[in-house]
Amino acid sequence: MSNNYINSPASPLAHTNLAQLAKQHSNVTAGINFRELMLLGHLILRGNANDPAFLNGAQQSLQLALPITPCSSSKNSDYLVFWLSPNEWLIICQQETFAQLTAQLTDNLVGHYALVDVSSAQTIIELSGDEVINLLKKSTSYNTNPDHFTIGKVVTTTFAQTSATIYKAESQRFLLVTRRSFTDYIWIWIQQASQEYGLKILPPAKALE
Amino acid sequence: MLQIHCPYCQEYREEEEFSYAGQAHIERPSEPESLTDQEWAQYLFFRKNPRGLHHEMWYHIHGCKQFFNVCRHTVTYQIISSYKIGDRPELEQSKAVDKESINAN
Repeated sequence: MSNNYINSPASPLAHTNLAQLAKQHSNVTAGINFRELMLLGHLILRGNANDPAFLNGAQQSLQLALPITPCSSSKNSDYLVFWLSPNEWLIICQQETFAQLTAQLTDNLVGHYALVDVSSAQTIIELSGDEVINLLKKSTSYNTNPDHFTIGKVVTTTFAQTSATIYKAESQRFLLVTRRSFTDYIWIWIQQASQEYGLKILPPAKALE
Repeated sequence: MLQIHCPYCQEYREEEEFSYAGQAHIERPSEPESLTDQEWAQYLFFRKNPRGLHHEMWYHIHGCKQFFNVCRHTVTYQIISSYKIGDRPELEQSKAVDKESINAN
């Protein structure tokens, strides 16, 4: 793998050639499906959740209310927004809409706020399948009981020997936001942890759905 | 393992998500230059080590990355309460230490 990712961004899993693996796995059925949602736009927004002007500016830019309930998320066709902490949100979008979103937020937000482009600092791993909850039970100390970890909930917690932000998209579909430098470790962990369930690699996607 | 309630995430999480961040409610003196060396050393270096309730800070380092306060019993490890930075504890040390119950344990 070349290291010219500054000029042409590459997934942290580029060396594993997931697209090639996915071709080999096209007829496989397994308990765990693995897909990387690569090269999406990741934007950290920070500001005061008690300031109506800040919430309003964010809502105008996103056409979506910021989730202010702890561990909640909100989404529309363009954006997926995660609550990370009382004054911090992660907005995920396609790379094509990223510049437009940043411009809109800069226009609409006033006062004290921060926007940080973390697109190249992290990636998203989508895990799905019948055994996905069993895989999570091995990997994280967070309570994965469906009554507790409900659909739409997002938690930052430990994952194996590192941490990840885990979003429950559907009852058996989770998104893991992982740090770039730890993604290879998590990839190896998932391969080993899912041996007993079978692991199917799906072609990487550059979109949220 | 402790289960610690994070007042910002508003739920219980495992201890491994947190790191300990020392004694809580230490106020920096407003005029450090007017303190004696002994008072300054007291502020900088001396910490409580009670047998009983201890107010301490914890850092939700693998979660929401917020610091918060916990009131914990150092003998039983029972966590009496956890509350946000800036809030006052429900129980103060002097009222809450029950020596007989500690000895019973």
